[in-house]
Amino acid sequence: MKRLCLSAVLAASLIWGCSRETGPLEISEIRHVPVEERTTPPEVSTAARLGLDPQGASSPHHAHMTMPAELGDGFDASLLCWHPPEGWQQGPDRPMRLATFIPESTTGTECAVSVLAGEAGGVPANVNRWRAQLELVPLTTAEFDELSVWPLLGTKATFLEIEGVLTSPASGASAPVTVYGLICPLPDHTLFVKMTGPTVEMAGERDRFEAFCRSIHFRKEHSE
Amino acid sequence: MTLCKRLFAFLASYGLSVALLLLLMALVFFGTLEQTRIGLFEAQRRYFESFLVIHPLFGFFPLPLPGGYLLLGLVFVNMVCGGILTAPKRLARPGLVIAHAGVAYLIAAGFVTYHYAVTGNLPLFEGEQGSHFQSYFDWEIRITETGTGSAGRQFVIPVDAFAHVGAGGGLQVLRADQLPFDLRVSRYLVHSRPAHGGGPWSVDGVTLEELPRQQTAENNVPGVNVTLSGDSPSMGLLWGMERAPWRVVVDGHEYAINLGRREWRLPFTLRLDKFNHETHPGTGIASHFSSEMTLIEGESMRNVVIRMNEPLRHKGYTLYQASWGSSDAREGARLYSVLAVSRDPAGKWPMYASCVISLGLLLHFTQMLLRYLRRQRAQEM
Repeated sequence: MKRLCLSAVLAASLIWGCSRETGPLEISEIRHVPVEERTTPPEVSTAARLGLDPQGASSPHHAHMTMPAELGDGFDASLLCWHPPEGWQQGPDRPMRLATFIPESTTGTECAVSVLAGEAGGVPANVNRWRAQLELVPLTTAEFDELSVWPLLGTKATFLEIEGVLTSPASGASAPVTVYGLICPLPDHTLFVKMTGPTVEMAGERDRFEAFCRSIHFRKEHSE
Repeated sequence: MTLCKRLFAFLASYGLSVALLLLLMALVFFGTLEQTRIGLFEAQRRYFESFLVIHPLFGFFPLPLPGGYLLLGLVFVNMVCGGILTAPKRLARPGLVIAHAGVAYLIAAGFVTYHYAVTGNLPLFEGEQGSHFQSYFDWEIRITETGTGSAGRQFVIPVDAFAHVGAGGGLQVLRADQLPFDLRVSRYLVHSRPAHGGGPWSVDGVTLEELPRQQTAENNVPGVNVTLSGDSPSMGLLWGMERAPWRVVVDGHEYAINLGRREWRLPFTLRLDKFNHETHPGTGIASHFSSEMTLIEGESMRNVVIRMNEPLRHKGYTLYQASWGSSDAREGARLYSVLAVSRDPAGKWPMYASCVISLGLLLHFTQMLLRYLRRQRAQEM
């Protein structure tokens, strides 16, 4: 029996050892790339190649940031100001957005600010559209009336917190996701602040989201 | 009794069968518990695809257990030795031998699937066509010859070849006769993100920060530190979500090096002509969806429809309707369909094995029933 055990240990050691081979390896898999796909990639810095764009990103400690002027449909965005909380970095420009912020130490979390013309479908429709994205049923009128309302920009903004499931377009896999959203109807436009991320990351961002939303204000000369 | 005979007797014994089944029960129990903490993919890898696993009992006590790969290997040997080779083989009682052979066949199917099957997905927008699919979990480094006049070869290095290097640093040299340099992988991070910073792993003031592994394995974005050997060694960072490949020029030849999800080419092309979907009333949850597609092979083209639970099987590949998007698309917006693609040489073996096991058990229990009835009749007479 001793010899039997010894043989088993030896065999296990060999298997373990074989799996940790670190010598030079010959690349054996070679594919053929069609001519049209043999394009030379752009010569860019490591930072730009990996999505860190020093020109486009602002310091997280930047005290007072404004939107680029005249973004949105006829909305003079330069009249809006906000204070991003500590730990949020401004992300690169994205279509249909006035600004994007990415909290530090997160991998899939971002906060988007956008303004659309008119009512943009109305607050309830947008609340339910966001819920549908997380595979949740629409709110009833009574449930909608229970949502928090925050004073903002001289009017009332609707805040919502949604936990649901988001399906990855690439892989088809689902993951738990949380959304903090703020919808603020203005006289001719609607302001949206939407923060989305994995539920585990979003738990620590609730207070910062609220602080960011409450910091949004018009410049003093604005009289809307 | 010689050592070989004793070994064979041990491998064929009932005692070993019972011990293995108890260990498998414990493994499934602990693996299922741990899955809630470390995620499905990692639990599967650690508990069921391993030779040995150390389970943190009560969160801190290290309990060593044989892994699923080792246990199922032993069950297979035990089944063959005890259930087939040493079992009494009488034409009058074939049921149990057939059933045991079916179980061994089922385990063999698992072995073939584990080692030789590939699975991935193929996302297509309406009007778009594709002929390769990508893995959900596995990654690869690609070194592509680019520029005019290049041979257009792409050297592919699967993640398994360098994953052992780890986050702490190590070295794996990768080479090909057709390449004028060696690629040296010195650091591999399972989940990472780029950041400005210094330190021994930084390149041009950028480094890759290690992040905790995601429970959902497909959400992990790996990163590697690589160096090209040669007269003027150059260091580079590769990241799974990088915007552009790393461009290098060696001996006047241009190369693009990048890290991407593992890809496989299909022996045919699929074009998504139309995507149809319906949702449960008042929700965004799909109740029915299907993809109307054109299958293109050389000059021949034919229309196919892939629906939920009605996959397309062609040339050893199975394509399922997996999901679609975008979930918040407005009326008239362009939709995409995600097809799950699988190439499994043993894809139908579990079904065959189940038939064999069912046949064996049916024979056995029918014979038992007949024998019981005969005894009853004899007692009554």
